[in-house]
Amino acid sequence: MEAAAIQDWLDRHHVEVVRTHATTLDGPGVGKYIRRSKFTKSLPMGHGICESALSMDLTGSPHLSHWHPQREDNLGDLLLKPDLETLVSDGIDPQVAHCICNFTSPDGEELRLCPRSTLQRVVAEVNDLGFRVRATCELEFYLFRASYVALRENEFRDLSLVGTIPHPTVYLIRNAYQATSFMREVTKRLGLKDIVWESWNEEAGVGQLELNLEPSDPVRMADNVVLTKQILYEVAVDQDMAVTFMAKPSKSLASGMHIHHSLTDSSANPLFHDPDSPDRRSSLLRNWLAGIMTTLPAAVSYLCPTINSYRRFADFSAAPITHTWGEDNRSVALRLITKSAEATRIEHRVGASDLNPYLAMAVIIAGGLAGLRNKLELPQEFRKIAWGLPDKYERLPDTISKAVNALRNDALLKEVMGEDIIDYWAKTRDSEWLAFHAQGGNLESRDISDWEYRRYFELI
Amino acid sequence: MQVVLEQDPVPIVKIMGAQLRRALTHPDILKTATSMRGSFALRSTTDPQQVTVALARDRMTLTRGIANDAGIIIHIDFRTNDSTKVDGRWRHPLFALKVAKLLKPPTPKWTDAAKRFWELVHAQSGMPGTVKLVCTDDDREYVMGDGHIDVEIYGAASNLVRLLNGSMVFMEGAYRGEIKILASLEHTAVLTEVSKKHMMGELGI
Repeated sequence: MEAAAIQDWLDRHHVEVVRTHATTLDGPGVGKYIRRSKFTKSLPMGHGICESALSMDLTGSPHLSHWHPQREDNLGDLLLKPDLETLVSDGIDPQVAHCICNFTSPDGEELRLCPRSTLQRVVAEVNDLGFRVRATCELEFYLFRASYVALRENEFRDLSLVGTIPHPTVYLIRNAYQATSFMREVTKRLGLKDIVWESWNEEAGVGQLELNLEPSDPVRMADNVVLTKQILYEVAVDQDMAVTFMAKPSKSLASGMHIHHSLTDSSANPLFHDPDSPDRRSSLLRNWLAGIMTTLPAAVSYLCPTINSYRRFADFSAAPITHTWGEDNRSVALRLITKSAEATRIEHRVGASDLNPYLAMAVIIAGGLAGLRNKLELPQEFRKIAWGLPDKYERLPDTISKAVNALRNDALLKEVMGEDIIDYWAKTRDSEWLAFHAQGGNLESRDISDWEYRRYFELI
Repeated sequence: MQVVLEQDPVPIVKIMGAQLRRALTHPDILKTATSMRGSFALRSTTDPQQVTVALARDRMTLTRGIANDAGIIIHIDFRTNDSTKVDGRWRHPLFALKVAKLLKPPTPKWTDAAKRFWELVHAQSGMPGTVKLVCTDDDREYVMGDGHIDVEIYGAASNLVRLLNGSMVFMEGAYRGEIKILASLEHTAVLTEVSKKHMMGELGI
C-alpha cells in the first residue's frame, strides 16, 4: 500500500490509533500505540524508538556485553519502519489497527540485526534464483486456567492446565473441548486479522494445544506467527487465563514449533517433486535438504534459543535428538514428505516453541541456499526410530553452549547470513547461558527453575 | 601443572579454571599444588553454582557440582572470593590450608595488573585505543594505550585489581558502584565483553 493511500484506508476502517509491532532478537514484540495523525506524519520512514528496543535481553536490559557497528551509541534512536502491506484493522477494538515494522537506522538504512530484515534478505536470495519458498509453522503451547497474575503470585507452582485427563494423550477431543471457548475467540480474532488458520487440536498432553496456519511466503508466515502469539496472549488476558510458549513449562511433554517448507517456481509450480525419479525427489530437493542437514547442528542455536529449549531434548520425548533425516519419519530431525507434488515438503522438527520465527526460518532457508550453492550431497536416509540409539549416532547439540559452539564453527551459515549476524547472536546466547548459571538456575535439576519461569513464561 | 576442564564447561568451571591457572603462575603456589592429592569443592553462597577440583600429581580437573569424594567443601561468595564456611577442615586440616593458599594467591599491584590486562585485551575487536585508570585511594593515574583518552575508570585499588585480574565484569562493577566509568555505550559493551572473556580465561592468563 502506498503512503498516499493510507489516509483513505484509515478512513474506511475508522482507525484512530495504530499499534506498531517489531520483533526483537529474543522474540518479544515491541512497538507503540500511535495516534493516527502522528503515524501518517511519520511515513514512510516510521517513528523513533530507543535502540535498546532491538538490543535488549528478555529482562529488558540493553545488550551491554557485545556490540554491532550498526547500533546507535549512547542509547540513541532507531526507527520502526511500518510495512504498510501488513496494516490490518484490530477487529475487536474498532479504533485500532496494527502494522508490522522493521527496525531501521535513523536515516532509514536497513539494520542487519533486525530479525525481520534478516529473513527478508535470505528470502530475497532465494527469489533471485527464480524460486519461491512456501512455509508454515505449527504453534504448540500450553493453556492454563489461571491468569498470569495468579500464576506469578503462586510462583508458577500448581499450574492449572486446561483439560482433565491427566496422563499424556494426543488429539483427545474431550481435553480439546475444554479449550473451545478460548479457541473460539482466538480463531475469531485470527479471522479478523486475515490470518488463515487450518486446524487446532489437543496435542500431546493435558493443556497442550497445537494451532496450524495456512502456508504462505516465509516473511508473511513469520508475521502471522508473531501476531498469532500476541492474539493468544490477549485472549488469555481477557479471559483470565494464561498461555505460554516456554518449550518445557512442566514435566509433561515439551512444545515445539515444527516448520514446514517447500520450493516452487515463480508460478507456484512445486520444485521438490520429480515424477521421473524413483523416489520422487528432485535434485533441487536433494541439494537443498543436504544444506539444511549440513548446517543443522549450527542452526540449533537459532531453533532452540533459550536454556529451557534444551529441556525438550530427551530420548522418546517426541523431540528429535539426532542429526538425521527420513521419509515420513517423525522421530528424525528433518521429516521429508513426498506423497504428491503439491504436498512434497520438508518438516523441520527441531525448533522449540520459544524460537523467533524470523530467525528460525532464516537459518533454515540459509542452510538450503548453502546446499544449492555448494551442490551438497544428501547423507544417508535414516529409516528406523531415531531415539534410544547407540552412541555412534550423532546427537544434536543438547545445551545452549554446545549449540553456540557449533554455530561459531559453521562457515556455510556465516557465508549466507553474514558473519556479523552470527557473531552477535552467538554473544546473546553466551549471555543467556551466563545469566542462567550466575543468577540462580541449575541445569542438573530436572525441575524447571524459578529463573526460567520468571524469564520465559510470559514473555517468550 | 595442567588445568583440565570438563566437557561443555559451565561458567563457574571456566571461571575457577582461569583463576587457578593464574594462581599457578606463582612458583610457591605451583609447588603447593603439585604436593596436593584429593578433591575439594566450592559451593556458591549466592546461587546454585558448584565446582569440584580434583588434584592428582600434575593435573587439576574441574567439574561442575560437588563430587562425593570432595574432602572439603568451601562455601564461598564467588564475586568476592570470601568464604563463609568450610566443611571438612578439621578432618583434613593440612589439605584445607593448602586449598586456602591456592584460592588466595598474592594480589598484584594494580598498575602491574593493568599492564598485563592491556597486553591481553588491547587487540580485541572494538577496544578503545586508550583507557585511563584512576585509583581513588590516592588519585594516582595510569594510562593504558596511547593518544586521546576514550574511557576513564575510577576505583579503589582493590576493585581495580579485581577488574584487571579477571574477577570483575566491567558493567557489573559499574552497576554496583565498585568502579565509576566515563565511556560510550559502545566502549562499555566492548569492555564488558572482554572482561567476561578475561574472567573465563578465554584471552590467556
